[in-house]
Amino acid sequence: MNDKTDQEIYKDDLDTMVRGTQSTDSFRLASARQNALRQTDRRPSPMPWLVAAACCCLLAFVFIDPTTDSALENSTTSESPFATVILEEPEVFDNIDFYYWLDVYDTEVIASSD
Amino acid sequence: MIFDSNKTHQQCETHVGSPTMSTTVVLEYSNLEEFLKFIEKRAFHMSRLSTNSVEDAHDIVQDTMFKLVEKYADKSPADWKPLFYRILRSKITDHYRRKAVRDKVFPWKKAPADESEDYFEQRIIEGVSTSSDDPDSLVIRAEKLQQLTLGIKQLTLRQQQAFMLRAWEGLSTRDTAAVMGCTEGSVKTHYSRAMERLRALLGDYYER
Repeated sequence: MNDKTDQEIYKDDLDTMVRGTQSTDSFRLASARQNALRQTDRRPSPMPWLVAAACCCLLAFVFIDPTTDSALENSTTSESPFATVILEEPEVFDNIDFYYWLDVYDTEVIASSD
Repeated sequence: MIFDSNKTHQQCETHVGSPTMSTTVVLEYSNLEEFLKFIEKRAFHMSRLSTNSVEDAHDIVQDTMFKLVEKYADKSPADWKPLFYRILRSKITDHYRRKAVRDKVFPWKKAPADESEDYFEQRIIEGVSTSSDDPDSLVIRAEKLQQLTLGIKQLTLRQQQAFMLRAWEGLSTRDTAAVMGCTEGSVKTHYSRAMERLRALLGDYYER
């Protein structure tokens, strides 16, 4: 069999398949054609759903706001002057007990003066 | 916008090809409604074979029709067929992309059963049975159709497209290349591999 013969045989069979299209499918295709010609889309636009989903995400973000607490925590730890001193001057570690005592002492003095 | 189907009721003959090799092709349609009627069933079966889903095939064909009317109604009737198949190919590719994303996001969801085989069993035989041939030849033909369907499904998507557009729809290599978005050489390669594969798969059924 050469290519052309094969092609013709396959085409005949595929055309038989088209002729065998069931009436429900033919009806749906005719309906789709009429909708297309009238430009009436059977499916609603997804835009309202997208807007609603975006609003829900925004609300969830505002109410839950997972970044606030951790950001605050990070800022207090990383921006503490004491931590900065430790990072910049490692020898401070040697006298850490002294500085701790000083901190407690200062707090007590302030408390007693109040 | 409501499309006036009589608006493009114009010439049925059109000239295609280069100016030096102009050939006159008699079109089987003269307005957009006739064109859609002429092409819709083949497009439906092509989509069905590509997607393995009757429902998806209907969606794809409707979207394609809608877009063709919306964007290209004012084009020449000779351009409608390549444009239609170009849109159809793009919709089928989109279908595969969506399916890939869906499979990644919901990996536990099973793919729906292949509806095409059921379709074949229930409907093709009904279609064949309307003819006046004897039952034996009807059964053989039904078997051949089933094997052809299965054979087409075993081709790659590009081979399927090249085969269906060239062999079934009768598009030229140039138009097929335009539809598939590749070179003519690539179309020839895909088509010849598709034919080779089908011949290997269907040899037993087509040599009776």
